[in-house]
Amino acid sequence: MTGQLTREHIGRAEATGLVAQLVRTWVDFYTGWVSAPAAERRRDEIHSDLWEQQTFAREMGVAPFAVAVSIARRAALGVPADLLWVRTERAALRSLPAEQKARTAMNSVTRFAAHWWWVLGAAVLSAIVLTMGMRQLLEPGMPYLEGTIQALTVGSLLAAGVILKAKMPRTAAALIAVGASSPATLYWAPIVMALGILVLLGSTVDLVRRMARNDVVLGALTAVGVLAIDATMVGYVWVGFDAGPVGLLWFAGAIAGAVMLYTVSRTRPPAPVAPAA
Amino acid sequence: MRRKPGALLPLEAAILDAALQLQRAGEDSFHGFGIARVIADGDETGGLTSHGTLYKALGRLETAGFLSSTWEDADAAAAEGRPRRRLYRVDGAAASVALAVHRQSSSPAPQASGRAAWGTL
Repeated sequence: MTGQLTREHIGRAEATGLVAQLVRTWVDFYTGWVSAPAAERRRDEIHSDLWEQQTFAREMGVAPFAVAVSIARRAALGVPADLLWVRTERAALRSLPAEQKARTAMNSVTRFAAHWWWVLGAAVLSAIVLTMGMRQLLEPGMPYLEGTIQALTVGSLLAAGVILKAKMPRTAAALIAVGASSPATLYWAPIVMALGILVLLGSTVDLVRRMARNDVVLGALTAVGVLAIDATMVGYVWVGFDAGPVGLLWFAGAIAGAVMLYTVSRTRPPAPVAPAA
Repeated sequence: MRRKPGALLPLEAAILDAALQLQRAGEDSFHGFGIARVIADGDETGGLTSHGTLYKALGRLETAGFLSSTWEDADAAAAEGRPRRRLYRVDGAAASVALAVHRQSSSPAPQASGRAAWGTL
């Protein structure tokens, strides 16, 4: 009987330990998104709190099951506050220098995904489109020559953008934005189209952000320039190709867009006005 | 709804109240679970404050200047075989004033009665 009670007691104590471990795992998870000092402080405080509660409960002779329930309740009711805390800390984190941000795997993955997701998408899109182009090229008699040329052009633009991303980020974003316009609008495969739309949005936003340099007018001109080039890519394939030489007029839009982007890249944003003394 | 600048939330008032109780009892510093226990003792439900809510409130009170905190010596904690504690100290004067203002603002306004009540119409 005593042995039975002891085994039950040990089992319940293990349950407390398991709940505490679950709480620690939750804390380790959500602190992965905040700065290193804030994460370390929150983790150490909760670890200390869990230890203190279990020790106090043992001293008071509280049943392990009741302690486990209490710990679980405290953790569960605190989840909204935890998430709000993460949101506040992340807002503060944006103004911190990079070296102060937590070097956790989660933060690295999040940062990478936030900045490079559309480049990864462009790489996948490029692989799909180039594969399609190569397949068509290898078909006997090359029955889809126009489609093949289009696929190889689009795939090359995307691949060039991916390769240049690290060294020439603005050029890379422009190439990817132009390259993604056709898959986003002309490839009647849902996955390719969805990926194309996402890559087009990501690259355009990145290009506008880089070219605008906090100036709304420069940002707007960049967006218009990208749209003009994209409209050429789509418009020529959609209606211009069948119109013969007249269809080549579509490229006037691309030239105008390219000139606009070049001009914006060479324009200095106006200096901020100093407040009156 | 945004709260007024300087106004205390009920939990923040409870933390300051508990911290002042501990200070009067001769305990200069306290840790998170310790203050949660004191608050629970004075609460009708007796439940311990949730982790996220408690440490977020402690952080706000520290930012507002009512509390200050430091890590205890890691060796001392290791010698006792437990994790190190974050030790908080309360600024007694500032906390007392803030609590007094909180109680004043949260107490219901006196009801006018008799002839004076006509003046409020």
